[in-house]
Amino acid sequence: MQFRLARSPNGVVTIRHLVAHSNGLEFQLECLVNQPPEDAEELMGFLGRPYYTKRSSDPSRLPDGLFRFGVRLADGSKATTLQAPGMWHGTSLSAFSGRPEQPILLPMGSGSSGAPRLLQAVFWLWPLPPAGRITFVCEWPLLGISFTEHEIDATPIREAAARSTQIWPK
Amino acid sequence: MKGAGDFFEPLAPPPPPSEPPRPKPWEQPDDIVGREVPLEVVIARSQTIAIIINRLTAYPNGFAFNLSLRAKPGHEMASDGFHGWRRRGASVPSDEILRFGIQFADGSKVTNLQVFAYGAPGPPTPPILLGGGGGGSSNRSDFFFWVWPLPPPGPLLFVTEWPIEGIQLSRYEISSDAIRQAAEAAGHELL
Repeated sequence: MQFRLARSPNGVVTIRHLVAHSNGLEFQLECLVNQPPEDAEELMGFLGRPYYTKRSSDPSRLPDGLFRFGVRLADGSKATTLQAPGMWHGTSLSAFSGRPEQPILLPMGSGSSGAPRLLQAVFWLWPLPPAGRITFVCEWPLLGISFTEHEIDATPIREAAARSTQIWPK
Repeated sequence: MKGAGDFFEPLAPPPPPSEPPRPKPWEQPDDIVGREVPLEVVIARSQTIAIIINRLTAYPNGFAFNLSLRAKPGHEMASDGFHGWRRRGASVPSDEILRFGIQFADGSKVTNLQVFAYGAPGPPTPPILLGGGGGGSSNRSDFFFWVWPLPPPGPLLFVTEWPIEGIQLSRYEISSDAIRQAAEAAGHELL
């Protein structure tokens, strides 16, 4: 499944390669940048990489350069890329003592050509979302992308997962 | 006598920041939204390793994909397979090296053992295979690849061989139709 999540004159956010597994949902998130900002370091705000240290002058506000992404599930729970500091590097389930109380978005690498205007990330959403609607949400003031939501039905994805075969059957 | 304050000349103003370079015509575009090709296939397997192609995205000038190495639970891969095959004095890759390539319907082919001349003014001789970057753990890893140009109509072969992990020379064939159709759709989503 592929869909456009958000768009501005300076950026397009796309979700594709949605695949459900027994214990989670995997997908690719991409942001194409039309005109990179003069300060290229601002693009480090894609997914809040740990070395993006810019802060808003108002501590109650997120900095404009910080890309915000998350999902809202049918049971009302949510997961966002702002849940943990340094989300980009090395966050794994082992970082949580015990079972997390809410869904978690785990970054799995960029897997892209590295071109400066092509920002990509592969995510793992744990656990597998319940049947029903999933809402994908993003916002990036730096690129003029306002708060945007896109809702899909998770049921066909879950049904496809049930039909898939394991690579290494137990 | 002049004061000490004007001894050191002020710095020249910094050059204006230049725009990052655009991809070359044979590279993955950065101004087109690629169209996914729903494909997830095991292209080769042995007792210990499965090699998978997935996350295939088509563009008017080629396609990107992910090559995934999945070891059997409990098995550790001998190496990540792709790097360092040009060991000093070696003219052939060792058994540790994962060989991977693609072949178009017109017989043209490219493999990861060919050295690509990055930075040459080009255009290169098609097809080309770029990337191979990625990684993971000794049990599972993922590598990004880009192929230029779009394959012609007909069969497209993914070919692999990984002696140390027991993968014999394997050819996996798909039709290029799905990639070509997706590429056509991608062309209509320019920024």
